[in-house]
Order: sequence, then structure tokens, then C-alpha cells
Amino acid sequence: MKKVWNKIAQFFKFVHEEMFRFPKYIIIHPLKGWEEFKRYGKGKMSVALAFVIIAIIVNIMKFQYSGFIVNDTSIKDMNSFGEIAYVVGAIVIITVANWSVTTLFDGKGNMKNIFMMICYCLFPYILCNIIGMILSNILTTDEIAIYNLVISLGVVLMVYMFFVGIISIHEYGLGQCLLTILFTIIAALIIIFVGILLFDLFQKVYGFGYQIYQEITLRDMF
Amino acid sequence: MKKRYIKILSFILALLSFWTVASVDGLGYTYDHKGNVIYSTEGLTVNQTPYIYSDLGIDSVSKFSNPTDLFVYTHHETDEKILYLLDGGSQSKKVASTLFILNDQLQVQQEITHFVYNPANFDDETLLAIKSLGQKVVSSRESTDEIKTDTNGVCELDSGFNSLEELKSFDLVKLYLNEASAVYRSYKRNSLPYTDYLYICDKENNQVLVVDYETYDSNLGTFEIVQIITTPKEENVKFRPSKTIVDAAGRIYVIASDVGDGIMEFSADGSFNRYVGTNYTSLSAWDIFWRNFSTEEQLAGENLILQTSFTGMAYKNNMIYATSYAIRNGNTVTDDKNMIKKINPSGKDVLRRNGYTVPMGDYKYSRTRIKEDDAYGPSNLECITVNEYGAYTVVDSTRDRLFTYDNEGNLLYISGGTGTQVDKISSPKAIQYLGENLLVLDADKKVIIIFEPTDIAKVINKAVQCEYEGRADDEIINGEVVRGAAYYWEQVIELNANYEYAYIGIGKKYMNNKDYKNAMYYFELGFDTNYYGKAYKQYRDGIIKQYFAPVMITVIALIVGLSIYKRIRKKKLGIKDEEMTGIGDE
Repeated sequence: MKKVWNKIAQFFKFVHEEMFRFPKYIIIHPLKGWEEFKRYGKGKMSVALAFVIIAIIVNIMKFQYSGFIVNDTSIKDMNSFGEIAYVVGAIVIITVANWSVTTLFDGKGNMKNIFMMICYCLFPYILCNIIGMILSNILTTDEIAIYNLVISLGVVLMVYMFFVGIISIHEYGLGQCLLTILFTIIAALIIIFVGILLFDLFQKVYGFGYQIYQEITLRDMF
Repeated sequence: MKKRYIKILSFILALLSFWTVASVDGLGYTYDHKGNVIYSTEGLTVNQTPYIYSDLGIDSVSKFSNPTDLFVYTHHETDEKILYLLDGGSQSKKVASTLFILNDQLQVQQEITHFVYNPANFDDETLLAIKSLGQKVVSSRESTDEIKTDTNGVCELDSGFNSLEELKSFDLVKLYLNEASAVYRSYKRNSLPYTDYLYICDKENNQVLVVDYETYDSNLGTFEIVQIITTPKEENVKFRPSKTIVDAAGRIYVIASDVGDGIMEFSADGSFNRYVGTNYTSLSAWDIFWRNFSTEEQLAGENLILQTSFTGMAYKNNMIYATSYAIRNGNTVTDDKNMIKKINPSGKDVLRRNGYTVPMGDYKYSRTRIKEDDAYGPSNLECITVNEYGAYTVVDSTRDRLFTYDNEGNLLYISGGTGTQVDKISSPKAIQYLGENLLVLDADKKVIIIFEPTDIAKVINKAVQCEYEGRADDEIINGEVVRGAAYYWEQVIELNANYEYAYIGIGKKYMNNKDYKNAMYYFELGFDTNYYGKAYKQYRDGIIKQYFAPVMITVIALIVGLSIYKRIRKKKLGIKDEEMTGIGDE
């Protein structure tokens, strides 16, 4: 019994230390934080994956639990697979794009580091969205600007963390970092474009095969 | 195990059969709060066979071969309804237009084939411009025979007089209409002398006739023309008037075919005033920047008015309701949100657009042709008619549907449909309200179709009327309960639970009764964030007022208690005070 209690306490301590104090430390002391993240191995893969899953859950909860004043969509319009795809797809595409661009620019980060960095950036977004969700149920129409402020704060902090993370992990200067971000966006667009092309071609090949099948079965040839 | 499967299977089959039976043809549709198309109830249906020429009392089918306009007039004294039906005749076959006057049972009372006028009442310029059946009245004619007058003193000839003097020598001359396209009657009461005039758009004669209703002579069988409005000389337009409206001051508003500058406004004496109703092009920042570099000639050639082709008008309460086609730039549609306008006397568009979607006929449509013979593109609104409580109906000739909106711009119901069956519309030329029914003049089938409101539409109409008169909830007047809008909206919900606008009406009732929790519930069902916000504000205020005292007392008690506790703890530990305030973190 005591063992179980100990394990639970240990788990909560881990969660508190890793998922709250460390990301908060990264926001407040960015350069030092990212350095500890990368060099002293304080970034953990399990935490990164947990952040991704929590971000997906928060996105889905926003549909249902946001107050009516900010969210007048009906729950039947929510596509949970879409929400998963948006979050996971965005992270994977940005990771791959960033990694492929930094190999050109002599970046020092590897794929694992970049992925974990992006997932840690989700922390302010998640926190501000949860606060925003609670606020949207309490505020009236005139005060809804506070909700907008909280959500924007989450997004701004996320972008800020991402920016400093790129500088720190790849050990770039400011100009190189901006260039990298620009090229990352271009690379992400290329990946998306190629993906759409692939899907279209797959559809056409499938359609072609299906038409042949229909011709064979429907015609009285044999 | 097998029994369970059979039970489940039969249940599913029963459900499927229910589903297939329930989806019958003839279901109406409407647009929900997001603009998506959902199934709904039709508002107006056809219950009696449409009136063809014989039902109206016209003796020959050739007299009703090209119907162009229908107008319902409520008599200024007796309040009876008089209908004016205009048949355009044919310009190519030289058949004059005929005006039929019907009673409210749609039976022809009088048939007017021509009008008369006294040339002495008109000035020379007008006399030279008047046309009859397509020919100018004064022009050279071949024969030099003497022109006879008939027994009533009306000249036998109507056009082709040699000269003005010859024309003026007669007391009364006939005038035949040529493809007349609109009729309107207006009783002007706001200044003496009171006038009761009939206005007729004589399209292919390029003139608008103003006929005095009080000059009806049963010997002649017609009325006398008091004024003729011909092509305004200031404007370089080919004046082919197609629709007309007269306001309470006697100003005449005319829609002329092929004129894109707007509705032409003439003053009561016949002179051209201005154009009304068009929108000005809005300049984007790029346009303003580029204008700095344009030369004078380039700026002069630029078109500052969006070319709008107006199609129909109605007049109610000093406001002109006008419909127009969507504004196109070549083949692409640039502005389809302003197809219905409510123009106030100063010329500004004041239509209320407070519904879920903007009043424009079909909100969603395919922009290109998908199949052969498919109707595509935005709705082409042809006519508009308004009833006593501000609700108006427009007819769309693209897909032949009727859209009814209320005073605030909410889409009430969609009715009608395309087709060649008797209850479908194929080429609508005029729509008019006759009481609660809607008359549609169909030029293709040459009938008058009577649309009557369905059960749910009757209740919706009553609810909209109550909202227009400001009665959101039941009131007790003189000891009697006068039902308000919420009572009817609740009946609408019973008939169609998906009618989202009704929930807002019910919510307003609860808001009036200060029951904010229920009001919030109904506003959420009606997807109205504006009213929900108002109800929520009051609700939150109420809760705060209720719980402010106890919550504050507990909070203050907690704070006081905590500070006392800390003091006691400090005192108890006493010496270890310094160790407690130890070295902090780095």
C-alpha cells in the first residue's frame, strides 16, 4: 500500500518537475533553458509525446466546453480525426522541414531534438487555451477581449519559444535563424504540395484500376 | 444467439424502411444559421388550379398571350382589392396591349384597349414625342383623306398626323399601348388636389402614361391621359420604361431597360430628377494609390457607379423596395449581397440584414454549369412584394423559387419550384400579395398561380406580425389575453423543431419575464450570440448579487484567519524565526 502511494507521489513529482517547472524555466530563462534541454538531456521524449496528446485533447475540448459567446459551432461539426491530423501533421511536417533545411545550413540539432523542442513549445499554448476555455464560460460579450488576449498570449509565447529554441539548438545567430524559419516554411509548403500530388495520383491510379475491374465484370466478354 | 441476431436485424430493417418512407419528394429546404442547406417545410403551396384566360373571364386566348404585369390596389376609401392585369400584346404583330381590371375574385370587370387624350393639354414638344403602337403620332402620312371622328368625338386615327396643327384640331385622340410592361395606381393625398392616377409603362412607345382614374367614361370605355413622360433630354438613354412606382408625393420612379445607372426619378410634373439606388464603387487602398498616377482622361473614363440592372420595385411606408441582378464583371459575380434594397426617401439603402444570412435569394449556389440545362449562378430576382407587417417575398427566375423574408431580414421560408406542372413557376413576371395569399403571374404558361400559406406558414406569419408590432409575449389588454409572438413561435417549434429562428423568439419572451437562465438556453438553441450575451450578463449579475455577501464573508474570514494563524505560529516558534527566513533559492 505504501509502495503504491510512493509510486503515485513520485509520478506527481515527476509531472510537476518536468511538465511545469522545466517548461516555465525555459520561458523565463530561454537560452539557459534550451541549453539544459539539449546538453544536459533534461528534455524527455515522454513529456514531449504527452504534450502532443494533451494538445490534441485540448483542441477537442475547445469545441465542446468553450462558452457559447466564442464558440457557436455545433458539436456534430467536430471532426476528431481532423483535430488529431492537424496537430500531429503540423508537428511532423515542421520537424521534417526544419531538419532538412538545417542540414543545408550546418545546424547542430538532430531530428529527435527538433521534435522534442517543438513539442515543448506547445506548453504555453495548452495552458492558455485551458485558461481561455474556463474564461469563455464566465465572461460576457463586452469582456470577451480578455479571452482573445489570453489565447493570443498563448500563441505568441509558443512562437517565441520556437524562435529561441531554433537559435539555441542549432546554435545559430539571429540572421541565420530568420533565414532558417523562412526556408522551413518553404520546405513545409513543398512537403504539403508533394503530399497532395501523391494523394491525387493515388486516387487516379485507384480509379483507373477500379474502372478496369468494372469493365471486365460488367461487359459480357467471356 | 441466433434469436438475438434476428431481433437486431429486424430492428435495423424496420428503421431503414422508416427512413426511406420519410424521405418523400416535395420537401422544402432552407438555410440554417451557418448558411448550410437543410431540409425544412415549404411556406407557400398551390391548392387550387391556376387561373387561365377563361377562368379570369377573358373571352379569347389571343388577348392573354403575353401577360406582363399584375398589380393589386387597395382602394383608398372602401378598402376593397382591385387587380390590374396587363397583357403586352405583340409589337411584331401590331397588337396593342390590353389592360384588364379585375375584382378580388379574379374576374374581369373592364377591358381597356386604348386610352384617349386631349392634345390641347400637352405642349408641342411632348406632342412630337408621343407614340402610339410604335409610330410617332405626328409624322407624315400618305393619304390626304379627311380624318373622321367617331360618334363619341374621338379621332379615328391614332398616329400619322401630318402636322401638329392637324393633331390639335381634334378634341380627343386615341392612343394604343405597345408592349406595355407595368401598371401602378396611386392615390396622392398629402397635398391638394387629391389625385387618383394610373401609371402605365408603355415600353416600346418609350413613354410612361399618367391616366386620371376619375375621367372614366363608359361611352368611350376608357380613361383620359393627363400626362405623358417621354425620353428625358438630359440623359442620353434609350428610354424603355419597364417598371414604375409612385411615392406619396407623386414622384415617379421608373426602371428603364438597359439603363445601369439606377432607378430614374421623375418629379410630379414629369421632369427628370436623378438616379436613385445604385451603389458607388468602393476604392481599395491600391486604387487610391493608383489614382495619383492617372491622367485626367483616365479618371473621367472610370466608372464610379456599379452598373446595376434593377428588375422590380414595390412601395410601402415611404420606402422603395427594389430588386436587381447581381453585379457582374464579365462572367464573374463581384457583388451578390445587395440584390434586395430598401431605399429611403434620401436614396440610401436601409434594408435590415439581421438574419442568419443576407437576403439574396439562394445563399449557396454553384458558380458554373455542372450539367446541361442546369440553372447556375446567383438568384436572378425579378419582382418583390411587401405586405402590411414588413415581410417581403421575392421571386427568383433562375431556379423559380419564392423567398419570403421578414422585416429584419430573416429568411422565413422558401417555396415554389421549377417545372411545367400547374403548381410550378416557369417564367414569373409579377408577384403580389392578395391578403395572405400570393399571386404569381406566369408568362410562359399564361396563368395566374395562387400560392396559399401552409399551416406552419400561417403560424410563422402570425408570429412575425406580432414581432413587427412589438408584442414578444402575451399581454392582457382590456381583460383579454392578446397573444404575443412567443405563443406562435412555440407552435412553430411543434411543427418543425429545426426552425432555428423561432427559438430566439421564445428566448425573448423569457428575457422579458426576467427568466434569464431559460432565455440563455433558448438563445443558444437559436444560435444568437448577441442576445445570449445580453441574457448571460443579466444572469451573471443576478448570481453575483445573490452570492456576493456570503462569498466575501468567507473570503475575508479566511484571510483574517490565515493571518492570525501565521502570527500565532510565529509567536509559538519564536526563536526559530531567523531560521525560518532562511536563505532562499538561487
